[in-house]
Amino acid sequence: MVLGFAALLGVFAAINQNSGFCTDTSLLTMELPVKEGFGTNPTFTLQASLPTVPDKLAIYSMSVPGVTAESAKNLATARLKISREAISKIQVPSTALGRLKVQAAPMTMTGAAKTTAAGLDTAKLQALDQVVDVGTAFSLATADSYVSVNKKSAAETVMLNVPSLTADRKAPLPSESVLKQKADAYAAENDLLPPGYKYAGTSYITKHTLNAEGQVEKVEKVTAIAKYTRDIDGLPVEGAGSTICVIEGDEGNPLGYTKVSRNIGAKIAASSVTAPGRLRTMAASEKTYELMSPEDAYKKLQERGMTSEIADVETATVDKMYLAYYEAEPDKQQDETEPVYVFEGTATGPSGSTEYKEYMYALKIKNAEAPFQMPSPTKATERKAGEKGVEGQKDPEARS
Amino acid sequence: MILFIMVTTDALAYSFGVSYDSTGGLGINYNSATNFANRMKADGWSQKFLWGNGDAWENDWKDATKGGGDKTYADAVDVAFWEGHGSPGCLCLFAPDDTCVSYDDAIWGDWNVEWILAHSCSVLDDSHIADWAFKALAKGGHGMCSHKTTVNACNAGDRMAQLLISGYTFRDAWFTQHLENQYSGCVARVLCTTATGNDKLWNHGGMGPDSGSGSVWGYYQCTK
Repeated sequence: MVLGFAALLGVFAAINQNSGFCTDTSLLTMELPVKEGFGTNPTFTLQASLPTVPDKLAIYSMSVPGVTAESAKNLATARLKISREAISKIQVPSTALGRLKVQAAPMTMTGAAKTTAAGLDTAKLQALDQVVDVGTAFSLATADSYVSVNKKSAAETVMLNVPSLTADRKAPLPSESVLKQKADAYAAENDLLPPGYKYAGTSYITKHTLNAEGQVEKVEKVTAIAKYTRDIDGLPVEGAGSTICVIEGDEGNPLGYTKVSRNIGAKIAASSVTAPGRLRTMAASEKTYELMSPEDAYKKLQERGMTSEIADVETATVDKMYLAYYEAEPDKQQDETEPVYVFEGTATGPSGSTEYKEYMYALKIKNAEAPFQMPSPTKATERKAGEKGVEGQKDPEARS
Repeated sequence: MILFIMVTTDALAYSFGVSYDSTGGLGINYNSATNFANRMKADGWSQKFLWGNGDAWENDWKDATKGGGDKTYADAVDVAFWEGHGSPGCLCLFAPDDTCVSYDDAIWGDWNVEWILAHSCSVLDDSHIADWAFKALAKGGHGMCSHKTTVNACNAGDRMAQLLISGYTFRDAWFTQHLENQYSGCVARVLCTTATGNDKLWNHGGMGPDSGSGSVWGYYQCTK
């Protein structure tokens, strides 16, 4: 009983006594790619409505399945459609995890594959025996295909025909409805879409030819990218993750895909602009973090400026502002997802205008830190004596 | 008569250089730059330079005819990688001489470099993409990879090196890591000639000819 009371005191100690909001940040490990810039405090103009904030937004755990050389080999087997019987005796070489390994015989993508008498791609079969641990992922490359699985996120990249990825097309790409149809079929056949994913439109890789005056004189759609995304509790998921891209080439035929999709687990906490209150907090087992109001978020944006790799902007419009969840790029450990504010618009500086997308933590406690101090970019650091560079060799093929 | 030709190891070696900016509290750019360098070195490339933050001078990327030191740095290698801030028409490094490497500062490829990788926002925006082609790259350069929109800082260098070493073209490697690492709506671009669009690392498939007065320039664009 004494222990139980002590535990209850511990819970209470971690909760703000005045507001009832939780101040324990040990759960909140999600990181946004925010970076203080220089010359990135433009004058913002809000041209969007502030979003409506739901009463409560959950914070969810995230997890990924274990990734091993064997699981990467299994994925490659399935995606490259290699007979299981044919590869049953292939051994996966043991390599120390995390050690960078250079392939002894680099497998560059050079041309047509040879086949065995049984019609199986010998290059692909051999490649399965050379699943390489490249430190961050397991990968293999054959004459024309490539498979990799990231260790931190289990993100998959599968390319069935790499040389064709951005090759000139024999004919214009089909209509978007045909592209969607083929992408849906490929995704279903390969069981690519976890529950909740929906088609989110098609974007493209395009080829633009410049004339001698520097104007674009021709634009061609080369490759289609059919995207699938998911929501969490009705909010979109921003960032590199929660997106599956089916890549299509000639006639809309699939060339492969990229998939960044961690498992969304149980609710681990809540967030709200409304304080849960002391009585309710003491009785409740749920931790509740304070959400920034949209008004405060916009004020914070104006104080903080932009945090991408942009520089030298003087003005910026905010054309959209909304709440979302966030999932990071493949090579990032992410154990939870929480609400974020997203700002979209156009930033303008002396050298032009740029469309931007900015992220901000929606939890007040994550925004508590002061902006980083930026060094002056005009203040050079003396390089070490003796590290004076030696002029390089002129390229014999270069034309003067 | 027997003619002997002396070829130094410098002339044979493939080389790269990296400048990066990891100030402002985000070490991911340091990881991106150093991971790129480590993978390239493991693949047999020689590192000519790896300068970070206050040591990443704009002067290193500026043409020698304009008072810069690119014959020692950015134009002395085959692949030069900038990991840091950018704006339309500008790679934002540190002084000396100033903090902006523009298309008016650079003539890349007249000495050695083939490919420029700039993991930065908006350098290849519509407003100045032709300037990069015709002013900065047209005297021997092969191409440049960067973005039209803003881009999130991430470990792009690590992934880019992995894909290049696996045999991807510069274009396909840039776009593949872009689809993996960036947000929906983010736009990457690869500026190249009709003869260099399928360039790979020298030891993984090789490259087309240097650009010149007859080269036809264009760019590929990947919208996630």
